[in-house]
Amino acid sequence: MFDLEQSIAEWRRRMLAAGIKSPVPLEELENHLRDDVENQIRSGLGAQEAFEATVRQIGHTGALKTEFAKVGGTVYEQWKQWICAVARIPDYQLATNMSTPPQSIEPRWATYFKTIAFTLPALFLWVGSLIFVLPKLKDLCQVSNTPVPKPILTALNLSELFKNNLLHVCVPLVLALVLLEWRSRWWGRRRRLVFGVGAFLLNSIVLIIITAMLVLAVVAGARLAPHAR
Amino acid sequence: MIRKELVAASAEPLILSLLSRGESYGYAIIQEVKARSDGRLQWTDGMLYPVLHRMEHRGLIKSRWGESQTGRRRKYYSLKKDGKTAMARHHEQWTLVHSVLSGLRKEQYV
Repeated sequence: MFDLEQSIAEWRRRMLAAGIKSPVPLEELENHLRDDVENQIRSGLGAQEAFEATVRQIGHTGALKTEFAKVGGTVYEQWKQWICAVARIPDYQLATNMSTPPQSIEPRWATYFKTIAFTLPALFLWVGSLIFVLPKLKDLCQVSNTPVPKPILTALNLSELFKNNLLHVCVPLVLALVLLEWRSRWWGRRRRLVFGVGAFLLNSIVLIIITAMLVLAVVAGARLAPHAR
Repeated sequence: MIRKELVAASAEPLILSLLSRGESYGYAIIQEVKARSDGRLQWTDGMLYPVLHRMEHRGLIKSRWGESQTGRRRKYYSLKKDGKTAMARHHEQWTLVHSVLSGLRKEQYV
């Protein structure tokens, strides 16, 4: 059961933790929150929905703290303002945060399209190298008697495990995405971040594994070269 | 939607103009701007308060704590003399931009 007073108390704690000072401006912001929640409930919204919408509309605590800090704040802030004024640099922080954020949420199709475009080449490269290169590399290491360092061996074994269980990994992943798209309310705002971090991690892993394979191939090749002569 | 740079730049003249009609508080200012622009000029609500505090720090507006009809404490803002001067300057500048734009637009249709 949603408890409005408890939610407001939690919101206050979050604001205090983020560095928004009490009583001013926190009390002013809380009054705003209460006014808006009451207004939205009067116009027919549920208490929880009204509370969540208002918190979203109030904006990010980090951006708020930065803006409040500028109000005749620290020496550092005064210097920064003075330098910006001299350099004629407009107030970008305010320009970015003053307008309402919902429109800045990237459309779903764009996020999916970008994720596919950025992960598919890495995925193909990874699976391709595991199928065509890894068996040959293992032979090469065995023939040249090259010891494979433990971290590289673990990474290659894990990669192979992933390749052999591709279906077992992908199906739950797709199911989780369907569930998130269907049921979750917070997913829309975090979709891009999650996919972005995922694509970055996947590309980094593939880059590291392929580099490791390349280094291993060069080392094994060098050890084999004298025998070939 | 209106460009974010324009939203940020128009915040101060709008607040000054609204307060020139009498004292008001944050939530009411936001609602008024929303209503007058048919919801097209929407602020991130929380960002209004640092702007108000900065304007107060610069001596354009002043504030006092009062009580709402429901008994809730509210911070009311009103215009100071420097604020009136700043508002006149803003009006002059925005009118200039507006007249240049309108003139150019008219020329397109001649």
